[in-house]
Parts: sequence; C-alpha cells; structure tokens
Amino acid sequence: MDAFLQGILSLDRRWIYLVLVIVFVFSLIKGRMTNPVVLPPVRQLYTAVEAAPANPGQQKIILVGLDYEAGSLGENGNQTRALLRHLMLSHKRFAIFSITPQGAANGQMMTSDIAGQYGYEYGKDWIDFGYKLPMLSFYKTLIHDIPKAIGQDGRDGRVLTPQNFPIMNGIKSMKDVAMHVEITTYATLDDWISIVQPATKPRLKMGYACTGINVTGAYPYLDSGQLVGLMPGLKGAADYEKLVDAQENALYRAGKIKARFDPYAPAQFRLPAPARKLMYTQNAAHLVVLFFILIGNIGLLISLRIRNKKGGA
Amino acid sequence: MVEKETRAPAAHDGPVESPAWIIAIFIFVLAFLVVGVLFHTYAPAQKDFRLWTGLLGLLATVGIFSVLYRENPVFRLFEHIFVGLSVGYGIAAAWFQIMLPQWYYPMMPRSIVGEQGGGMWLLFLALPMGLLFFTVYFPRISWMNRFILSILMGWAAGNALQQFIGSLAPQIVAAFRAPITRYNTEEVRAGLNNITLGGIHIHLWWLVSIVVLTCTMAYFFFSIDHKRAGWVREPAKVGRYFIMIALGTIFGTTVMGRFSLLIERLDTLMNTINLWKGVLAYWFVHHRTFFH
Repeated sequence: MDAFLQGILSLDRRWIYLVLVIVFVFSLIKGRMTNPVVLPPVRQLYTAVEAAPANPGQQKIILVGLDYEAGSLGENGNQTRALLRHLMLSHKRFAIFSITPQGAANGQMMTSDIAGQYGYEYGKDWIDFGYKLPMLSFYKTLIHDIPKAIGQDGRDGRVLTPQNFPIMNGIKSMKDVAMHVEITTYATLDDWISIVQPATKPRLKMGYACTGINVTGAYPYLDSGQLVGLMPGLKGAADYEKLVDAQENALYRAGKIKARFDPYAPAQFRLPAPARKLMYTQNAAHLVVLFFILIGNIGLLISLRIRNKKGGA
Repeated sequence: MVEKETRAPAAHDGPVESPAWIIAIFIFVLAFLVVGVLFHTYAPAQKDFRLWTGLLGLLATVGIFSVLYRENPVFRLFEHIFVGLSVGYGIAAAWFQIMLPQWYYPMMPRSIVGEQGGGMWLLFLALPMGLLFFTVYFPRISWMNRFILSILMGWAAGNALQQFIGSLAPQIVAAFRAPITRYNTEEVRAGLNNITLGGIHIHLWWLVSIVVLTCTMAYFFFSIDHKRAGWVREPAKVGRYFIMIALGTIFGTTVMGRFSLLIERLDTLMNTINLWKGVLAYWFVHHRTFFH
C-alpha cells in the first residue's frame, strides 16, 4: 500500500501532461458545439453593444482594442471573432486598433476576413487605426482629437479625413465614440479606466474581453459601473458566440442575410475552431484535472493516516 | 583571510551540448524555409505559402513544447528564434507605424518627403532628448541622464496620481452601499439582494460585501496585536478564508486560461496536419511531382 501511495504522490508530471494531451486531442476530434448557460456579464456586454448608437447615420463609432498577440489567440481570438460578427450583424460602424504590433497586423487580417463574409466595406463601415504605442500622451490626445492621435490609418497609411474615409465624418473626439471594447491580455484596461473614461462626458461606456487570468481583477470594475459588460476568457467567448449565433439564425430565417458565417471559410488569418466547440475540450480538461486533484488528495490523506498510525504505535 | 574567488554566472545552468547541435538545427530550419519558398514559387497546385508557414508553426510549437519532456537544444533554438523575431518585428513596427508617421514625416518639409511632410522642425528636439537616456553607458557624461529621467519621473508621478483617483474613486463610491434601507432602490432587482420585510429592504449581497471587506482588511491590520485583541483576531481569521477563496479563484481562472491557449495550439496543429494530409493525398492521387 505504501509503495502504491508513494507512486501516486511522486508521479512524474510528464505522465499527467501525456494524459491531458490525449484527452485534448481526443475531445478535439470528437468535440461538438456546446450550449453554454450565458453568464450575466456577457449578456450585459451584448446588450450594451446592441444599444450603442453607432449605426449608419448616428455619427458615432465603436472602438475595438485588439491588444493581444498570437500567444493568446485561444481566448482573445475567439472573443474578437464573436464581437466583430455581432458588430457587423447589427450594422455598427467601428474602428480597430492595437497597442501591440502583432495585434495590429493580425487584427487587420482577421477583420478583413470577417468583413468579407458580411460584405462590410473598409473606410465606410469599418476602419483600422493600426498600431499605437500605449503612452499617456496617446490616450490624452485621443480624448480630444482622434484624427490627431491616430494620424494615418493602419492599412493604407492615408490621413484620417472624411474625404479619405467616410466613416470619419463627424468623428473628432472621444465624445463621438459610442463605446469602447477592450480585448486584451495585458493590463491596458487600467489606462482606459483611469485616463480616458474620467475625462469623457458622458462617461465612456466600456466593455472588457479578457483572458482567464484577468477575470477576477475585472469584476470590481463591473460592480462599480466602470464596465458595462465583460467577456471572460474562452467561456465568455463561447457565451457571446451563442448569443450572436442566435441573432444570426433569426436574421437568416427572416431572410435579412443571405448566408450564415462560416468559421472554416478560406481566410488570410486562420482563427481556431468556434469557441463553443473548444469549450467541449475545455470541459473535458477540467474533468481530468478534477480527477487528478481527487487522486492526489486521496493519496495524501491516506498516507497521512498511515503515518499517524505508525507514529502512534 | 582568503577571499572567495568570484565567478561570472553562466549563461544558463542546463547541460552544455555541442555547438554542432545548434548549427544542425539552424541549417534544418533555414533549409526548411528555402524549400518552402521554392515550393511556393514553383509548385503549380499549391500557391499558398501559408501551407508552409503552418508547417513551420507546427515544428516551432512542438519544439517549444519539447521542454515539457526535458531541457534540450531544439527548445532553446526555437526559444531564441521567438525572442529574436518578437524584438525584430517590434522594432520594425515601431519605426514604420510610430516613428515615421508621428515623428519623421511631421518633422520633415514637403520638399523632401512629399505630401506627408509637416515641416514642424521643432520635433527634431525629441532626438537629442531621447539620446540622453543612452548617456548612462558613458561614465563621463552619465550625469546627463538625470535630466531626462527627472522629467520622466515627475511626469509619471503626476499622471499616476491622476490615474489612481480616476480608477479607484468610482470603486470606493460603489463600495459604500447601505445593506438595509427603508426605500426600494431601483437599481437592484427583486431577489436575494432585495428582500422586503415590513417596509425595510435588505440587500443581502451588499451586506456580504461589507462583511468580506471588513474581515479581509482586519487580516492586514497589524497595528493591534491579533493575539491580545479578539475583536481583530476573529474577523482576521475569517478574512484569511476569504483571501484563500479569492486566491483559489485566481488560480482556477489562470489554469482555465492556460488550457484555452493549449487547446488553441492543438487545434491549430491538428488543422495543419489535416491540411497537409489533404495536399499529400492530392499529389499521390494525381501522380504529381513537387517541382516541374
């Protein structure tokens, strides 16, 4: 018995990695779309985006920060796809930008791919503000003068004027931004919350799509009203995707769109499988981890009991 | 007294392998890229270079993951490639997307750079000011570094104060919520957070919030000896459990996040393998050669 317990407690961690990889691969092959229960903060974000006055003729845009790199595509990539699909389905005009060089390049390709499926036109329905250094001076200029802070667009390098880009007609300062959604791996939310939001009247509405690590730090902002909604990690992306899929299906059935979004269509930038499918693997992985935690704790408790008995004798 | 001989720390503590390993792997990666370019240029059926970059991505991922088994030269090579690529890409992006449009073009006259020129020659002063940071490498003039650092520190301190207030003030306001009111606040729905008892409204979650906040703060309240003062000790004990719950939550979401990243990688790898399976099957079926 002792040898068995010792074996469990001193198990080489590489066996655990191997089991996890087998479970991951198997569940990815056999995986299917999950039907998650939508978290309230995700629904709040969806509702806020839906209500944002950024439709054609409303002279406002939604700002989307794609502040992440290839390393967090598993979470942020899926969040981006779900949000951009929603913006395009709801005919919201929007601008993307990034504080990371990779995020800017990937974001541009990603948005172009999705825009291609929804027939969204560059310069009229959406625009790429490109890569910007996350410096205080940038944020402070952005509050009062968006064209000055951005300078040129990120795709063609043309100056941001209404003549070059019709979407910029009437867009001067952050007052003309209906909402900002920050999709990020970094602590960039703090900059927006502490610099930009207090300086805009009325207070800038902000949504936050973060990685799993940052979720707990984001909830206080949600509770205080500094955030209007939250999309936490892959789970948040799956929830949002479910809401967007439902919206798309309704529009498709009503004949308002010709085709549904195809996540596997040829693309410049290939994103991972839909979040709702990846959540299947996530769930399987959690079960494996729970199993290992259980085994480890049982082994520890039994060994402690044996040691106590020996000590007592 | 014998002084101990000081020795410069090694670059890494792992086993030192033959440089032949590094050279061999490097040549392999280089050859891989060359074949990829040739493939992209000459293969008639597959003009898509992303097929090749996908395969390179697969190799890089497997190379990085190989550290899970043990430290090895393949891992180190891809680690260095990753760091080098990130830095190189970052510098190029900073120049073309920041320095050129926001500094160089606005500074230069139109007669030199064309329509993009702004002629704001005062922007040139940014260059010597920026160079002051590098004086730290020259002992004789390193004192000049202090000018620019003092400006930066003062500027950062002022902004930090502003940011602190902008970020935390709404949260402090939000924390002051009455747990029991005689009026029905419209901002909360009926439920556990709005229980009505004879004209009094009890907001349970706000009550929980106050208890958790007080107990957690008590844990960090060291001005009074916890052993002697029970009114601090007992809430602090409870606060400790709340902290444990919070840390557990952070750890749990971190694990969940890491799994998501791994799942994405495996999904991408499987897609690449499937793509290549399809391409190879096509070649075999049509008896095609790679280059013709």
